[in-house]
Amino acid sequence: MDAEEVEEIPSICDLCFWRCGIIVKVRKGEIIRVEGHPNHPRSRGRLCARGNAGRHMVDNPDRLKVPLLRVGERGEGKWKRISWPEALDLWARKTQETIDKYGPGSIGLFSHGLSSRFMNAFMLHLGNPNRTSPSFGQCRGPRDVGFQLTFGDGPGSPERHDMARSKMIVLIGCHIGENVQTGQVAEFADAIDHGARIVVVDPRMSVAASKADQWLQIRPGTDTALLLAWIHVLLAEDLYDRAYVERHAMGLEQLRRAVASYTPDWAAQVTQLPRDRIVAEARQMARHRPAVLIHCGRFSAWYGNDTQRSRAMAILVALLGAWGRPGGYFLRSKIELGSRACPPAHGPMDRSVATGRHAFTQFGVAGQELVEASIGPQARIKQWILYADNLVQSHPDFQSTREALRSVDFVTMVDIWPTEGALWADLILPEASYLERHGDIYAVKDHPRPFVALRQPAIAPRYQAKEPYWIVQQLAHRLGHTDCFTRPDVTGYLQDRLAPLGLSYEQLARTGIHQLAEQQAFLPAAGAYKFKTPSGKIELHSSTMAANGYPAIPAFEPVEQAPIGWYRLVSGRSPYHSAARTQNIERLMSQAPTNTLWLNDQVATAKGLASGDSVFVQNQDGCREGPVSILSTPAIRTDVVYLVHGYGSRSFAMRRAYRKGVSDTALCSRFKADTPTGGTGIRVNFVQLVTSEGKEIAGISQRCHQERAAIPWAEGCIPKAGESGAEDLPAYQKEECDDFLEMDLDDSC
Amino acid sequence: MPHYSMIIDMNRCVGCGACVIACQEEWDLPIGAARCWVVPMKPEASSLALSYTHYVGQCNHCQQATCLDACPTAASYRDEQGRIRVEPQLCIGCGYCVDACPYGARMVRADQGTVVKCDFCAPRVDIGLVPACVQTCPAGARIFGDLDDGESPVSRYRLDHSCQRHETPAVSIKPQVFYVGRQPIIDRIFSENPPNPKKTGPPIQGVLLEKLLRPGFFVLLGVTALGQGMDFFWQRTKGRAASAAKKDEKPASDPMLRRRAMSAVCLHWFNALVWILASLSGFGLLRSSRYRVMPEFFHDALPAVFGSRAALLQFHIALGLCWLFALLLYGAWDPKRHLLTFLRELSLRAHDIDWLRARVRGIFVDSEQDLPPQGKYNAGQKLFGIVVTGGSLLIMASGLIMFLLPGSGVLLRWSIPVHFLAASLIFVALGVHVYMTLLVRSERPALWSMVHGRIPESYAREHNRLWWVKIGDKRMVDK
Repeated sequence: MDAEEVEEIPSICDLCFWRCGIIVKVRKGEIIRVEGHPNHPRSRGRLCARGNAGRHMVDNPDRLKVPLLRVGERGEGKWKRISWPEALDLWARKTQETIDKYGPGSIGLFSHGLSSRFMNAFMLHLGNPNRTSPSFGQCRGPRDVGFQLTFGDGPGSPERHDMARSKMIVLIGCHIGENVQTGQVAEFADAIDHGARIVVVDPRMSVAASKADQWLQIRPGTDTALLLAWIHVLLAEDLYDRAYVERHAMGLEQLRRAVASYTPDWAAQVTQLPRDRIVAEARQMARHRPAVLIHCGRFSAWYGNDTQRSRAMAILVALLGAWGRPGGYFLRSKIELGSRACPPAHGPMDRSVATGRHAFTQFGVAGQELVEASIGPQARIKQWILYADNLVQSHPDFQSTREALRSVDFVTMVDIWPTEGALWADLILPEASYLERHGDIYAVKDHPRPFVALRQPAIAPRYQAKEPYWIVQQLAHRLGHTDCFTRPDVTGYLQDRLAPLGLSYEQLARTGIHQLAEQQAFLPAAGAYKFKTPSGKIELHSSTMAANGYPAIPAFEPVEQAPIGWYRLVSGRSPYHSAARTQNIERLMSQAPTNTLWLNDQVATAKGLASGDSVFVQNQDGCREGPVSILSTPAIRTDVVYLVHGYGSRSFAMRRAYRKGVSDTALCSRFKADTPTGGTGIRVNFVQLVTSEGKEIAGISQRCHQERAAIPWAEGCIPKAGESGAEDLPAYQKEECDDFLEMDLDDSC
Repeated sequence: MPHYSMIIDMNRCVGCGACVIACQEEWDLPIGAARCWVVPMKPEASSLALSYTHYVGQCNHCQQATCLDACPTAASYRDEQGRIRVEPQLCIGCGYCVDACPYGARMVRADQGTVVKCDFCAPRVDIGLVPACVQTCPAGARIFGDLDDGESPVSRYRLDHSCQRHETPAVSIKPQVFYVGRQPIIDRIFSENPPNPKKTGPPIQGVLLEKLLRPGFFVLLGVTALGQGMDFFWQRTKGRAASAAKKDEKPASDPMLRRRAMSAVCLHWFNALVWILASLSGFGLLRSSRYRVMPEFFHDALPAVFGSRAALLQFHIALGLCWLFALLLYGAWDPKRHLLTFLRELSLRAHDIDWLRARVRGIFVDSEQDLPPQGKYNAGQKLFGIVVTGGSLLIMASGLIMFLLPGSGVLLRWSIPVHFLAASLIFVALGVHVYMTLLVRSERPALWSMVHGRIPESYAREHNRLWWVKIGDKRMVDK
């Protein structure tokens, strides 16, 4: 390689939220390599598998290339090419019609990622609050809210974990390693190397669990019980950080009373973990505090009781004195940027959709509320914008999604991939990939030395793909909103954003990253500190929760347990994939071409199954996925099966991903909403293993025996009547729901 | 000189595969090709080990590597920094080395038909970077550096980590990649992914070349040299008297007969030139100690002449293509005469067998015996012609396979011994041929006929009596 010909453009990755710094090497207009940016404070030149393969987003033969207009039925996936002016005119006309007739609140925006900020800003400017993103409702919403209620601030993104200094790390359902964020993995590996104590709570032995000092193979859905018991022990044995709590927290006495009944003996029953282990780990935490990282996880929409679980975690963090202390969480820094692309709305917000069911949901309305409000002739939402959000794979209850997609008047999709959503869209607009576009300034306040980073195009957009700023600007200006996106070019806008930092666009474009002076990462050693809670203190007892009708201190709510012969479906990540966004990249698929169904080996044996055998998986609503290969292993509980998320695309236009592996989302036909946030708890779906005809693979029905063998400390296999989990097999609807399959009407592509 | 080495710390490694993708991207490998691997192992939770781990590996750059001398062309080599590398321009993708790596660290890439393997990112490291896998590893599980430098990352890591080689009693070849990890985990990784003791040498084709064809070549050379020596001895002693006697019989006029067309004469010398050059370059390419037939100094000297060994290979290929093209042109020019007549003239008849018997007896038993009369070519010449023609066809076919179908698997694997066998047979036959014309005095007219295309009538009458009779009156035409 002739080094002189190669241009190196600094930018930031877009394969996950960590947004590592990258150096894009370009030769003769071709991206030849994406490498880590050595100066990026959170990645230090490292990249994960996905980031390394990023250039195949650009050269992917299946990406959206030109604006398309639907010509067939919705869902059929038949389009014709149209020009950008035609597409934008049509979009503007439809939008104007909808607004004129039904008001700005009749547009639903489903969006994801940095590039969708322009569209979100424009919707707000229109006075339309009806927008949602999976990163809240299907991911970190309950977690953020739980921490916010407690500390007045969320844990940040990337999270403000001071893992490098942690002496003990507790992962609850978080599988670092399979879930790869470079800096986090680096600090986790350092922690292992330095001998930090690592405890992993997970019904499945993850890679992280296999490296842990303790793997607590918890009964699914009982994490809050474990957390409450740990709180109980810390208080009962007087092991908590008394000085810290006295100085910074309020509500200790209420907490003490509330957790009095959550004894380790009780928790042992509920969680099926050994009592002594529960107590021992609480004491370990006390020994290592405050340098104990109770990792807040990220995907937190599990069981519908998730904000309370998050609150319990936050309270545990507070009792250990780990918030704003080395080895725990550091504090948020500040960055002042210039104004956004759109001024605020001229009129009031059109809040006619929010049901008020979820007090703390992200923009006042949860994703499922938007979906519900889109169904039927009286629907409030008439038009959808899918902005880089593949709703079909990201949102559970696809039946409702599909119904809504059929019901709304007009669906516009802006994306780089022809996802399932594309098959249903009326208008498809090709966005430039992350290596061909600018994003809004990425300002990282969740770092002791905050920094700004720039996503900038390494090459001009291929085909007819366009920059997100331009796309939204064109729509806004066509609708007469010329006070938005006033800068003709995105670089001018970015310049405005950077101005308060005394930084020019050109300067940032050269370096990619600009780090600001170090700010206060930890709580002051003495004196008061005002938290952004109503009381100005850490709220062990949350008056905000109480005011909204929720328990002020988390209480354990039992969740439905898997009936005999049924298995709880849990899902996780492959390090080669970012949810459902990377399965069309051959480089990555060649390493992780499909997913397998983890099944406890004793259950498998009882059913006459072995690793590699093919089965179908059918959920309580009769939704069936398969065939999928079994991984028979002792590394998972007998009442749980596990799938990696993101596989099983139903979009035939994504030829490498189409029908590769099975979709866990297709098996999540129901969810339990986390009431405070509206987060869609999806771990409430149970599956059976069936044959291709749908006949149950029952095997020897000795589940009691199996469970006893697998979990030697379990007191009794089937809980006594009245306890959670004693229900008989629920009367599930048995209606066939192959609706998900209906989405591919044409395999011919 | 640095002594590069890598440590893979399985305590740190999370099996995310960033190294694999970074490597594939860095070297722009096609799908399916890889220079390193991360293979997830089945998650196990036994009382012995709680492990959900991965077999992470690549070329171990073994100090006692088994792959190096399996490569016929020595495209695989160890550089001065101890790294085992492949020179793609010399690699024909035969995959002999693939069979000789007990760790499975080599593969033939489908698109270019050359072997890919880890070279510790030599081009990166040589300009001061670290290997792509090391740079990208999120977990910092790969530690790289110079073992001879006490301050290098590997040397420092070794101070407080126990490093182990992935070896078994059966395969103990001193890998230069070391593993760190909890003992039960390392034990599990090693025991479930042992180096393959059957993959420590070239495949059957290579073994055939090494154990049979190469010694066979030397034996054949020896036998023919012996035969020629004895023949020469008889010619010098007893043959002298006979020729002295015949001298008197020499007729006053000995007209010259047209023996061959000038085009054939030209082709002959073209062939001769090709053969000299092809033998030199071809045997020069066969450098590996397992297969080589030329001495070390020859191999050292040859690249100096050609500039590089890659140039030598290119020269050999170009020569072969020229040769093939010339022969095809010659054949196509006048197919009837240049192909059909030629083939007919080569076919062995009954009197040829008699002649052969007598000739061999003449060398080893009874040099006095008279030889039976022969046609235009005697049986020795025909035999030579058959060997050379058949051999040439095999050489062209196998050469074309190696040139056109690199990395093509079994066909290519067999092409190498076939190419060698054919070349060595022809080489031996050429030895006899050259001996006959240069050292056997009575054959001198035949040598001259390869200059002007004619032979004295007396010579024809004696050596090619049947032909001489057959052409009858026409023989004077060229007088």
